[in-house]
Amino acid sequence: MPSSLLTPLFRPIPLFSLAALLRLALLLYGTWQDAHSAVKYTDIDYLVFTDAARSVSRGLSPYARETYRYTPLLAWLLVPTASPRLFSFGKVVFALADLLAGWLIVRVLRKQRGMSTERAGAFAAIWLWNPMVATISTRGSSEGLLGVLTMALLWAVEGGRIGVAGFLLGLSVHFKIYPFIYAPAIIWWMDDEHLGKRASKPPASLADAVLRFASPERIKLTLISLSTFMGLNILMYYTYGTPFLTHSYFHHVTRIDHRHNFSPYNIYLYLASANPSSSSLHAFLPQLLLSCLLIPFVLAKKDLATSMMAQTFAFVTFNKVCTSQYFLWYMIFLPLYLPESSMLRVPRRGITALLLWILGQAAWLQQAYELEFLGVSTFFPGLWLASLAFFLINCWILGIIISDGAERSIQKVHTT
Amino acid sequence: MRQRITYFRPQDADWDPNQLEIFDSSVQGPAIQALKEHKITLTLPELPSELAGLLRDLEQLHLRWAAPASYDTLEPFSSRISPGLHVSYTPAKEDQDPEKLCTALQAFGRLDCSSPDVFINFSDGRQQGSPALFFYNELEKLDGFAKRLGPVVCSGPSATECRKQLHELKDAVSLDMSYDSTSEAVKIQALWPLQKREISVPASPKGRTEVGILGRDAPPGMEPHEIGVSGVLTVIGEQNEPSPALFAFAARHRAASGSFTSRFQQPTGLHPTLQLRLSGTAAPLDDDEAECAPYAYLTLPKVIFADRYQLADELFLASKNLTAAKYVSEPVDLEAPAYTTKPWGSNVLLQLAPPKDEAAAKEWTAEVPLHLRYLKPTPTGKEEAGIPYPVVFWACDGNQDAAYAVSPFDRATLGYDGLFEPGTTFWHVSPKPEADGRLINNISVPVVTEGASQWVGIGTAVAVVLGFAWVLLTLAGGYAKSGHGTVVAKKEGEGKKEK
Repeated sequence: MPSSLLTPLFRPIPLFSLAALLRLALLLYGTWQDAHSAVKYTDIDYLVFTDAARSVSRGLSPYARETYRYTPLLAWLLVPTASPRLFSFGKVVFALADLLAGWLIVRVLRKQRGMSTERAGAFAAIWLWNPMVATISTRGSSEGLLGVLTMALLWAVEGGRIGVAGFLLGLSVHFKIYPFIYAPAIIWWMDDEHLGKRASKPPASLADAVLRFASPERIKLTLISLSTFMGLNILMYYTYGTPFLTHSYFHHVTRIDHRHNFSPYNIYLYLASANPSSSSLHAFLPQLLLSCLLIPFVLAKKDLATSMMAQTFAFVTFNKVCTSQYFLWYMIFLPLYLPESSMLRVPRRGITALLLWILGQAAWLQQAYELEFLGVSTFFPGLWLASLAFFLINCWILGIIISDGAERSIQKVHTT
Repeated sequence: MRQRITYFRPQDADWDPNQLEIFDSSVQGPAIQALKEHKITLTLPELPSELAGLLRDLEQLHLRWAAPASYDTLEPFSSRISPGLHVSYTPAKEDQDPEKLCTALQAFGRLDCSSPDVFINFSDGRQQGSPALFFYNELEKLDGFAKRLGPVVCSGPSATECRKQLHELKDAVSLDMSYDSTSEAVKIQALWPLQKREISVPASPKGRTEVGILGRDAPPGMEPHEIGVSGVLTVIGEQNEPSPALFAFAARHRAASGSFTSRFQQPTGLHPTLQLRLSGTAAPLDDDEAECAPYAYLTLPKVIFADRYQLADELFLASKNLTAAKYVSEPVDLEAPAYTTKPWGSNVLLQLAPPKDEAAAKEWTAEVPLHLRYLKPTPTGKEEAGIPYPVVFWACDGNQDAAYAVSPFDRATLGYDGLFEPGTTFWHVSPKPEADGRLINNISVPVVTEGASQWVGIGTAVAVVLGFAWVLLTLAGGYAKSGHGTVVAKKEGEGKKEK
């Protein structure tokens, strides 16, 4: 565990000050680079967001901007960026979202896991001081917002704030779809034991079991999340019409994902897209089976955070399209998963996993560099094998996370 | 039907008009260094009925073709378009059937124009009266067109002569065919490049044939924006002696000094940069005469495209010696592979930024960042594509009232001219080809090899099944150990078990 020399830095004030400083420095550096170099620090997606925000500020649809494939909420949130002097406003929001997510991590670790301040801070630093996380949000990618939404969701669920949890679930699914995988995990987790209620006798019949499963809390969560999700959708559809549905949702079903990315299906989809009769919808099957059904069934009740981590990991690993920004979706759960994990208990395993994860990406990136910049046709076999290798590495890591989760017993403060 | 054949000589060439022999049915003369223009004006009833029927459905139609081979020209024949076939038109009615036009266009060769989505909207951002729709297709030669057209237009006693003339199209460097419904006239203009050629014009069996042997001159009272011309003119069958001519006219298209080359920076990758190397930084007109700026007008087949958003950042543009992307046609999908992209491609008008220090840079380079689309698999893992040279010119403010259209050699509706104010003059920088003498930039696009499909299908499936099975196994292992419920801590004693 952290050396004693670093321990004082994990106290809240230095922890968050350093995280904020890191982001501030990157933000200022980015502004400088953008102003002085033709190679931009700012992510292209950020230009899409801000163009859409400008569009919204003029009373137009955010979908007037090509490739804007997000909820109008994001464009609304970034409306201040329409004024040139506040161009970086969105990056500040994303950076603050990082910090808030970090604060929630500390809170969950301390209040719901009973961890000491320094130890909680040390694990939160995996997120807060992570250069990858800080770079992605200060370059203006909105993935950090998902981090805070999912962490807040976990915090609300474990803290028994069912109404808040329902709202957050509905909101985050509206925002980026993938958090719907957390719904079955949360519903499954919400038994009497986890809600701090006295466990009742085993159910007498199947009907009794079903009836008891449909507890008021579960119904409340379902209703609130569904109405938040549908309410937002209706509002957006009412405001922006079909383009909202087309770009935010249908795009993800109809997209052909022919361009190279980390997904194991990538080259297959490129080949399939050149042959109009083929369909690739069956690729959703293993992904959804794992992330929505099997992993939450085995893990959610044992450790909701690890279940959510494993589900997200499975979702990203088996997805039809995968870029490095998606890795942020599961990295937010690392500080909650790692403390009791075999990756720390058996350091060799943890280090091997980390090295293989980096090596898999490096091999793929090398092949992609040859393709993208040198024009070498590395699609086959180089890029294809690299993506399969990275996929298998991820499956192995996912196996470790699942095994850890299955052996996990969470000692909640309020149950002792 | 009226025909006009013009031989245009360079200024310094010596030539004696008395060498011209004028017969009743032809004009003959010795070989001279000249470029040749052949202009034919027809009315609708003079056309084959099918063709006339097609044109009646249209408000205007312009077919323009330029050869991929590099050629030399002279003012006033300085205007350029990118090599290939450019088709623009406006239907007379909303419900005009685009199939009909496309079928007729197959006379040029196999053109992919069957879907109406292939045409892009052309009138946005252009002068009023510009055609509504535009389509481009690469077209190497007119040989096939001449062969297919022969049986349709050549008939009667003059059929042999007609076919012979059509056959000459194989050496033409430019061909225009324009129709507009107000004049109900079809104008056909073909241009042969500057080279030594014999003067030989047969009379047209059906109408007036005018022959001119002309060169540059400076008639008295000529305005600075005009081009002066002198020489002899004659009408076959009407005159036995050539009549001298001396006149001046306002010219829309001029020749700028200097030249440019276009090439892809190596390696090209998936985001190639087109380098335009220009010689000369001086504007064709002085500041006090007119405001001038250099431009490049690109015709990009769908395999390659420019990202309008990338071309919006001033700092980025400046680093490429560009001032602004003045126009990018729509729609341009920024992600789709070529094989699902319907439009033929796109047009881009870029304003270039010459270096400020004129003396320091005799030669300068503007760089155009472009992006390749994914293409279908090929056996080699590569697909070769040819991107036509752009048109590079200086556009100078001109007199709005200048009567360019009355020039006997005027050419308008070339694509880029409609994007400027009326009255603008275009000073064309002449394109110099790369080694192969063609105004085409070849690029090799990496694609997946065809042979990959037999491995990728099975290999991906095996990997996914293996990965999936491994995860299932660990899940089953976990389930076997601890079920699906809450695990109770064992180490810390039984006390924790109680709730």
